[in-house]
Amino acid sequence: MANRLSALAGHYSPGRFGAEGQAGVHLSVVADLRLHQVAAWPDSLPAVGQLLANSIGQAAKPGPGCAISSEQGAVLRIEPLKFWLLNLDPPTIEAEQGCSLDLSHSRTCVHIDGPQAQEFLGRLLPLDLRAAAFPDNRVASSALHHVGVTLWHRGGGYDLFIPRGFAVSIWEVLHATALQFGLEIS
Amino acid sequence: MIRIDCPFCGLRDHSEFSYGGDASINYPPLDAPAEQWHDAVFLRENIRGRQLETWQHTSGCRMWLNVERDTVSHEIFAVWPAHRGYGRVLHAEKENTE
Ligand SMILES: [Zn+2]
Repeated sequence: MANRLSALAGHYSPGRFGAEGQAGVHLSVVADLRLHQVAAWPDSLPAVGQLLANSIGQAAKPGPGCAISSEQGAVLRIEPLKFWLLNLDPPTIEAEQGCSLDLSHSRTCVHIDGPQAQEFLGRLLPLDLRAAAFPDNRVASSALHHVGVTLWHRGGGYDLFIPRGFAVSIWEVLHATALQFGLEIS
Repeated sequence: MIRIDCPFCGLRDHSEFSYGGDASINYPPLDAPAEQWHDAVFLRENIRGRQLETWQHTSGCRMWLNVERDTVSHEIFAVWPAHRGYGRVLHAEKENTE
């Protein structure tokens, strides 16, 4: 298999940048992203959702704007009729039920955490990220500098999925915005 | 700032949506005379008050929506999926969780 090269290769340098003291924002790139999009028809959505939930050992599909996860992988409900499946290959889906598409190479995933991660994202996205409105395992698609991105609140941090062709310019925006909080790139 | 309560995503800012146009137009059959198509495509009421519109949640769930909005106050009275299949799916899920 071909060696995968990150869209940020050559633009990504680990280290400590910006404001001194404790770093408020940590950024890291999720290497070798495995991401499949699975789409269903209105009538087959319950069956396809069930299949995907079972594929990661869960009982029920995620509701609108939610994610479910286990050690095997995760299912994100990104659109009314579409799911993202992470970290495993999709189960076989009959053409009458739906279809899947490998998007592994189409997105660059940046993991964001740190004590000021929420405030940092608040400067960039028109989303209510307060804990009550956007708790763990919530998912939202929005626009960051007019680029369509998807945000998943995962394990206290956030996974930000960026279209590969925009990864460098969005990375520059993230980097510049994080300096005021103190930035650590690992 | 207009905020639209997307049936899938919840309340979101205007910047995530694209305006689609007048949702009250009934488009004529494809082989209808050019005059009918002219009227359907170009003639608008330019309503001052409540208007039925389509919007797409382009930067969110990408769903097409019907929106009933006041063109003066920007108050939004109702939002629902333009596609009946989407409406059915979201309605069924809501029933299941309530
Ligand atoms: Zn939406």
